[in-house]
Amino acid sequence: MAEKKFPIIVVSFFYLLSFVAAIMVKSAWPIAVLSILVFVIWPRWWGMIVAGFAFTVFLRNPWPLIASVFFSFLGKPKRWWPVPAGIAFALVEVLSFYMSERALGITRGYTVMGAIIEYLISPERIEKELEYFTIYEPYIDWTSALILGVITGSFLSSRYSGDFKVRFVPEIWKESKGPSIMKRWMWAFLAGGLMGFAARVGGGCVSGMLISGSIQLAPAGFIFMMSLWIGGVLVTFLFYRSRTIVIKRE
Amino acid sequence: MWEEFISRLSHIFLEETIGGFAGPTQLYGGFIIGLIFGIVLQKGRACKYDVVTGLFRLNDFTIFRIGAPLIMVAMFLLFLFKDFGIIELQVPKTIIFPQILGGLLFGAAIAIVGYCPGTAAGALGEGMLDSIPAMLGMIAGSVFYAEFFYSSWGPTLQTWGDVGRDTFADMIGVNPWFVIILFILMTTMFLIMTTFVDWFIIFMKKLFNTFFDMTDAIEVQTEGTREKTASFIENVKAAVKKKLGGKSSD
Repeated sequence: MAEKKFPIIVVSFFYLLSFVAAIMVKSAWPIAVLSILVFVIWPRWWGMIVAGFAFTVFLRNPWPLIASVFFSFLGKPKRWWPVPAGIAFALVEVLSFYMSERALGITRGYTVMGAIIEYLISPERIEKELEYFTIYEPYIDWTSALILGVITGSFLSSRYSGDFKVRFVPEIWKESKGPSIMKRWMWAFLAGGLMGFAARVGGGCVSGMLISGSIQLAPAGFIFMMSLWIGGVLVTFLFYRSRTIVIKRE
Repeated sequence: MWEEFISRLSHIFLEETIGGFAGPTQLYGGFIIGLIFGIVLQKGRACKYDVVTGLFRLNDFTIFRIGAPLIMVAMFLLFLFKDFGIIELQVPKTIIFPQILGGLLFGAAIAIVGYCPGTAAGALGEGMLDSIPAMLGMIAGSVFYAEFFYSSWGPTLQTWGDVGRDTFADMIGVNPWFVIILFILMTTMFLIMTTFVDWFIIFMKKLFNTFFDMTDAIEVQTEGTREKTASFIENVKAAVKKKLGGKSSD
């Protein structure tokens, strides 16, 4: 009982503080921000619903409350069964086509970020010499917001189901390549560079080319899918060698 | 120096991108779609290194079990809404050779790093810090391609096998619904097959775990018996010595 009563007192103090702050600045954003903060620190279902209600009042829009009520019971399990997860994924794809009139692709965001970084260093090179960045203009756009949204959504979801844990090296990597952090991060950087390069050669990544291409019956998606699978299996057997199949003890 | 930097920073942010939710460049819309996308990725366990490389190590088919219903449902809904005139298709360009090359390289990278660009962001939200070098690597890789390869590869490699923005239905010249029904049948078969294979693998893993547990238990037991026998032998030796000693003293 003691551990149940304690956060309620602190949380009500937080909410009171947010009300006072909202009255002082004559705007509702402190309530919204502090309710999300309370949810992140004590991930309970009522915190989610209060945050949704605060955003509904703040934005004068019913959707945050509806979404938070759905999320408060759908987000509790640690994993969804793969078929419902796939159907939800399909709905996200269709929502992206319906709402934003573009296919759900995320690698464009990384390219735009690269363009922005290069623009901050030397604007002349971007504007005059490299014609590639006339396709990927150095402005913060839809895809950058998408990346930020993916990070936030994954964080809220994993925090709510208790899956969030700061780790440096994945479990199976430890079993097949050793627990060294430096080695893993170096390989991650090198392979990430290869991935960005390959995505630019092929014209998209898994979400932008494979999924969005194949659901529109474009041959591009299927060609990319097959060659990705072949390359992945070949390199897995070359890279991990005898440690390819690891059986985790539970 | 600093004033110029700040003016460049203000230049990368366009104010007309925060008008509303719907539209291909609106930031709010991208953030909200990303939020749902991140939740779905996290709940479908697609952000985990173990699951993604398990696909290429041929011992975890969760990604196939997400992907098959995803392609099925999204294809159906997309063409249904297209026939109602609610959405428009954004068919990607098919260029055969660079997509095969890009797919092979992408598969190689995904086998090593274990995240694709979307799930790297999701993994960062989940607390896997090794996705930070992967994301930096993706930015570096795309800048590398734009700097050194686009001017030479753009006119040559990127035109080998250019088919244009056609779908399969346009190529064969039939109603897309025939192709969709064919694909839905194929993905259903594939889903059933991979589900059974995955269940078989999970069953085998459990079997292995119980087998290991049994051998562990036997080892523990044998060690215990060894100790018992050792102590028994020592007791006997001590008793014999005592007897012999008594005899010798006699």
